[in-house]
Amino acid sequence: MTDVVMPQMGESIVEGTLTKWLKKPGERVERDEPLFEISTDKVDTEIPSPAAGTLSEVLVEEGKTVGINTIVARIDGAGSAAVKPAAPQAGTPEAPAPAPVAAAPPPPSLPG
Amino acid sequence: MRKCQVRELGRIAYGPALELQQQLIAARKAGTVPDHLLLLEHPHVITLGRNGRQENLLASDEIMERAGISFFPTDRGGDVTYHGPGQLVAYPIMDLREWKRDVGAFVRAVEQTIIDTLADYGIEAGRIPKLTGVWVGDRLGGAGAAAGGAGAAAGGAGAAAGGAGAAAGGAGAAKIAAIGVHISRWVTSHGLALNVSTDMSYFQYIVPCGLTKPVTSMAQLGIRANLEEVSRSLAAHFGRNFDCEMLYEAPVLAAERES
Repeated sequence: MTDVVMPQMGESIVEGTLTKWLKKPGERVERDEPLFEISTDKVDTEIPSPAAGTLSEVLVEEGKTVGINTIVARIDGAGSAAVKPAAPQAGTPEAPAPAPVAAAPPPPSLPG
Repeated sequence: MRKCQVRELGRIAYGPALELQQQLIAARKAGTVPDHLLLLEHPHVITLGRNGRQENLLASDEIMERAGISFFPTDRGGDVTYHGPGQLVAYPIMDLREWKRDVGAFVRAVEQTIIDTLADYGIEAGRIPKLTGVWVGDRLGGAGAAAGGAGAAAGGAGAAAGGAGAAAGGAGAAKIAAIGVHISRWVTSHGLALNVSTDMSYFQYIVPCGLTKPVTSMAQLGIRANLEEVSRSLAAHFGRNFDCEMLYEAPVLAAERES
């Protein structure tokens, strides 16, 4: 099970509005595939999925504003445990080169 | 120093400009192109941000068609806005992983770029907290304008400094530039629209950005400026605010820039 969190979009940003789920509960999602959109300060951002698997639980509905690092959903599936966010920033959309298959080993969470 | 490729597109319809942005976003994500700054003006068009409310579009399809305005729902942040001739539009396609990784800092730097550009023309502009965009004080209400200027001058210091101007200037303030951005994997698109000599009557068709505050232009403030010239100024300030070297494709333009 992988927790999906409201990512940190920069030092000055403490919360974000979850504006749109791009997947429905029960749907399959690939790692790095856009999973939801957030809105902060006239900026809309697509957030890629931190893991491959099934979107098992959506905890924050569209239109809600929550603090960064709040768990917004859970993904159940292969390869998920290994990419569980270990640091607050692990959920940010800074994933490196897309992992082509679900079983691929997770790339480092904080590149560069 | 990071490089930023400037592309001056002249007047280009919204659809083709969007396609170009999408191509550049893909190329930027793939790392095959540097950051880009697209400078252009659109024919009459009203666009709606992803989270915009349709009710802020006041005109019917029929009225829009008769007025020659096209309509595009988009994936940028913000509500409804108008673009048209005389308005300078700038779309930065920038990888923020190479610049601060901070969406808030990006928006503040875009605002500062506009504020600096307006200062070149003697216009004192500033920010209003929580109302992203660039504002000028009411020219008749001198207090607002003066305070707005103070905010702008100290703008580099951040939101707190801008707040001083805004608190005083908020009442009579008018928006001169709008901002709406989309980010995917830290790559930005969409951007800013600065009213240079825009025919402001077109704003009657919308509630700009969903706000019932007035909009204005450089021309309405008594400044007659040529769009190309303003876009050169904006590109230069963009380079300063984002610590990048602005590259122009055509050698003749590069020569002009250096002279």
